[in-house]
Amino acid sequence: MVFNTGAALLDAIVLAVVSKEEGGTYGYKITQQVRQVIELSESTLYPVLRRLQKYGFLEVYDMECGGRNRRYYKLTMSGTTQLAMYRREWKEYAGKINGMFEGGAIYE
Amino acid sequence: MNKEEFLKKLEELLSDVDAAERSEAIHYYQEYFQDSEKAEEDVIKELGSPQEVAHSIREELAEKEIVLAGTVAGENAGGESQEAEQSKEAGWQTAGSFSANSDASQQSSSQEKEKKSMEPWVVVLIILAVIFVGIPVGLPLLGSALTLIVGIIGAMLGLVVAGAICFVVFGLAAVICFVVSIMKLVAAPLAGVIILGISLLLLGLCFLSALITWKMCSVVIPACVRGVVYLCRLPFRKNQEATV
Repeated sequence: MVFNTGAALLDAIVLAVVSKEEGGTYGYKITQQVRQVIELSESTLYPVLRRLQKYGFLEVYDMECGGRNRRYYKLTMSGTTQLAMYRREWKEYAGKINGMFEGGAIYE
Repeated sequence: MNKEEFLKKLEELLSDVDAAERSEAIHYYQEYFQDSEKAEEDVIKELGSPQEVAHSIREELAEKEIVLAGTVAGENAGGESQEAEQSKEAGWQTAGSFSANSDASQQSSSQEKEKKSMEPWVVVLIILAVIFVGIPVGLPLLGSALTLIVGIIGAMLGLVVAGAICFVVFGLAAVICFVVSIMKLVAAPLAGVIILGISLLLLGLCFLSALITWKMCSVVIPACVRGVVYLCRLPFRKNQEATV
């Protein structure tokens, strides 16, 4: 991968990954799923989750799983709104880039 | 290093960070170890050193404070704060190739500068060395290399021509034998069958030589030509790399 993933895009990817699981999902799983799409060192994800949590986009709750408590993350209302905003923005951005790469001349 | 040591070290490294923040991080990584099905050592290898992990947390905390101070609040980090974030995002470079490239180009440009700033007498010395060493040694070497290449090409062409001739001769012989065998078949059946067999054998040889000729033309010779072209381009390519 030659393209950098900026903070905003990383936030968007993480929100998207978390939103896929109806009842929320946990740190390790999120890391693995994010790593399926972008190269990222394993230690990068915790700060991002923490930040999204502080922004109020993610909320955490503990749930019993296999005899111990596991911390789950899920989207808040404003997280859902934020993700929708990211989706819109991305669509526009990707559309422009695709048009530039694949389309014909762009002179006016 | 095992899991306990890793977490303990991380806690130590985060000792000056807010206590709630610290215990949150430790809790996260504790769970991370439990959720991973891999061996502790492998998880640690993937996570990197406790120093790296602590650094990423610390960096994130510092960044958040700037963002929060610069904008209204975290609740709607839509427009403004996001832009602020983007403008100063330096982290999360998920791939090094861009920066690696720029490093390489920087290096080569600095090499170029060195080349340009060479003393004149060094240049003269190099030219003299090329004349006195390069010509007596280089020319014969170049000559013999050329001869070798020409020889190989000649041999290839010879093989192709030989193959073609074999094809024609065997083909003709096969046809003649076939005709003779048909004529003999009635008068002397035994001899006729033998000659028929010989004609089939010749036909086989004819096909074989056709195949060899074809392969020579379609595979071996193009490969040789490509090789020669590559060799001829080599000096120019090196020049290009040096100037880029």
